[in-house]
Amino acid sequence: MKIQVLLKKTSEWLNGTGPESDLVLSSRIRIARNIKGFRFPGKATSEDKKKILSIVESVVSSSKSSMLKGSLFVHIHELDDVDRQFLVERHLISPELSNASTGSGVIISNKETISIMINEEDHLRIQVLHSGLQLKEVWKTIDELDTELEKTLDFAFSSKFGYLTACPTNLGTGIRASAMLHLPALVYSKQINKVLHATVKLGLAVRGLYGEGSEALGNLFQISNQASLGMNETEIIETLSKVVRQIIMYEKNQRRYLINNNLKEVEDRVWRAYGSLTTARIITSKETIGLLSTLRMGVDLGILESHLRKLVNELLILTQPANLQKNFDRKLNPTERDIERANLIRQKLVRNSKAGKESKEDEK
Amino acid sequence: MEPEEKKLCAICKKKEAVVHYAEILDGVIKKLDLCETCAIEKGIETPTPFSMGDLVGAITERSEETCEQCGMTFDDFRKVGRLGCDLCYETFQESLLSIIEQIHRSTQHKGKIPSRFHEEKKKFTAKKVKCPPEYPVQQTPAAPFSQEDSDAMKLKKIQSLEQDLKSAISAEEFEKAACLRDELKKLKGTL
Repeated sequence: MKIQVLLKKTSEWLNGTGPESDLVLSSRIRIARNIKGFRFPGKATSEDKKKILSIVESVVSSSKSSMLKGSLFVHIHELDDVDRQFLVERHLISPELSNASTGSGVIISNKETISIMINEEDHLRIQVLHSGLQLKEVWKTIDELDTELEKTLDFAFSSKFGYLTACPTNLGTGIRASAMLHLPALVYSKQINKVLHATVKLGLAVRGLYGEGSEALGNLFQISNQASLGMNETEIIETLSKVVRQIIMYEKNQRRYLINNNLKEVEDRVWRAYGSLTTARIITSKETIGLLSTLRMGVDLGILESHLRKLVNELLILTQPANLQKNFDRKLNPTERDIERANLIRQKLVRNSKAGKESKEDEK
Repeated sequence: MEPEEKKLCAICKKKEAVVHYAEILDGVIKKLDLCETCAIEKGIETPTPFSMGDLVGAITERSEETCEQCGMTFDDFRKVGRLGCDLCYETFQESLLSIIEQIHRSTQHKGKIPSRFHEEKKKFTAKKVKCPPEYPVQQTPAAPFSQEDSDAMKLKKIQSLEQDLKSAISAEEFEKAACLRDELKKLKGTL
């Protein structure tokens, strides 16, 4: 299977670099585009969808843009369940696209920073994903890509409503910009609800990255714009960036407070998490996400070595069910998965055995 | 009658199945009943209690309007919350405005414009041209028509002008197109 090639490398957005990368895992923007005169995917015949898929694929493959060189073209209906889920876990396709049948596809760029979903809710959903807080750079890339594509593709557009999308919630710029934040100290100090409430009041949307309802596993939150019409792209991105920066500041203050007042307690939590991850023989993905969050905070606060950050990012994705199964190249039942997950984590962490900066006290 | 038996999750076979999931793959319907935990493990999004369709249904009036290009009716849209094609926005514009206002607090696009749209517009409004007498061609007949009749005539005329406009644009005869557009505007205004 061709998506096997993705396994060999780590997605570039996981490399843990970029501004504010200790608190901001990634910045993502996606734009929705439709081709003039064709029904939207929800109403299109499978013939139409196939036609659109081949049009987009030929446009991308004949493009001279360096951004699209060496891209991977994938047809969703050719993938089995695990492969589909694998792409969802790596943030390359949406859950909606993973359920699509004939006529839907995705084009994934060389470094997994760009993915173009074809015949999801709209004909095209273009996504760019970078590590850290770099929404402006992400917009620059996606804008360039969009301009490249519209040279050949005639996008549905009206001067009143902007880019026309299947759902009116995406109308106008067709933009959804988001940042994925790690906010353990705000959760720990129970300040998080206040912060999130204020964020929503400012017209932004918040959701937990993992987990259901209000529970956010791994203290990971995704903040995104809601309105896409009436503001231009730069305004939308700037509003989001400003709010994100504000939240980062709150989180940092809270972390400082924890260090100054509860250092032992924090160290205890971090080392216990490290202990569990390096010794567990059976571990669920839910438990893993929680412990990795604590480990990540340990790195941020200087309790653990900083080279662990990239590993923690990687493990977050690699320990999810489909990624785990791809890695083993066979289906695993849930119990087998929990065992193999524990094995993988131990392997990866123990290889980095020099994890800790032992505090001076311990040496006395 | 016996009470309905609770279905167990197809994956873990322990917990009660609460997520009922069906997918159609190459014409075969595959059904899966899962518990919440396994559904999440499998990456199936549990249905949100409040969908776009519900929202739209709540704030709009029923209407039988139908889009010419894709056959979607406004009532279909009220159920699914998604439009059928680009022309739907024109067809249902009046009814859509309130929803769009609710969602975005605005009804006017203010962002990027595709370059080809730019060019078309520029060519279109570049300069005021004097319209040669050959187009618009026929004058509206002066004969006394009833209001209804003349409206029907005008509609017919609008349709034919629109056709001419399309061919003028595709033939890149932008001066002619501009004239036809002005004529159309005038005519539509009298309806």
